[in-house]
Amino acid sequence: MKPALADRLSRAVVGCYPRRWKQRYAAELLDVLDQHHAGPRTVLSLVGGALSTHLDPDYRMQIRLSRDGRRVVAIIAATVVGLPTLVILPMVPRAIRESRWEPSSSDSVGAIAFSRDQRIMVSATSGPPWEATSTRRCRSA
Amino acid sequence: MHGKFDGLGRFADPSLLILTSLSDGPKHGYAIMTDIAAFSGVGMEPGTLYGALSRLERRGWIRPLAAGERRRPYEITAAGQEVLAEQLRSMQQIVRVGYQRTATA
Repeated sequence: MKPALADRLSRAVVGCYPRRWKQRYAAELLDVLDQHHAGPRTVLSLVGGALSTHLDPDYRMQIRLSRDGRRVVAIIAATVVGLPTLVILPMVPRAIRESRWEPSSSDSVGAIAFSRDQRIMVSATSGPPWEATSTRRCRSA
Repeated sequence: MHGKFDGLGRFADPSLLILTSLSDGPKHGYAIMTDIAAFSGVGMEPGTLYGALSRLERRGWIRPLAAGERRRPYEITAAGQEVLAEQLRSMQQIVRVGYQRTATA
């Protein structure tokens, strides 16, 4: 890493410290950087310092959202959680119904056969042959 | 061996070096760095230095003096001197036992 790049990165990282910390120490820290030959270790130490300061309870990042901001977050959360739910929920009753399907006398079953993987295959008299299948597996004899 | 430094965890070393540096008079950030490099050979980086300085100040072991332009000198407090003395005694004990054991080995 070139010294000029390390110096620019170091100064950029100082801007990533919590605001209250910067108000107190940023000017001093920048003064030290003016006199210090910045290198990769300088950048790493500042990144580590910024992260640990954000995790420090005294300087922890304070996110204050406006009313509009809270509304946007609520819409995003509802989309992320709600959309998949709206797609999956209507499929549940059908999946339960199909898993419990048994042919009865009222069904127009033309023929029943077993596939190689022991699934029951049903051909309805009114539909195309071997279209309907059940997910139920047969017990092995 | 437990003492006042326990809460500092992995920051004990930078804190000890800073307190040692300030024990002979107030210094600003860059002067602390160069002093530490001179007496210990440790090249302390600015991120480490200011992380430790803010913790030491919060604990009341150092205090900032009036700033001149952008440079703010720090001085060690009485509580800081007490903590430093305790830590040095602890290290002295470790050094003494270490020398004894390596001599008899």
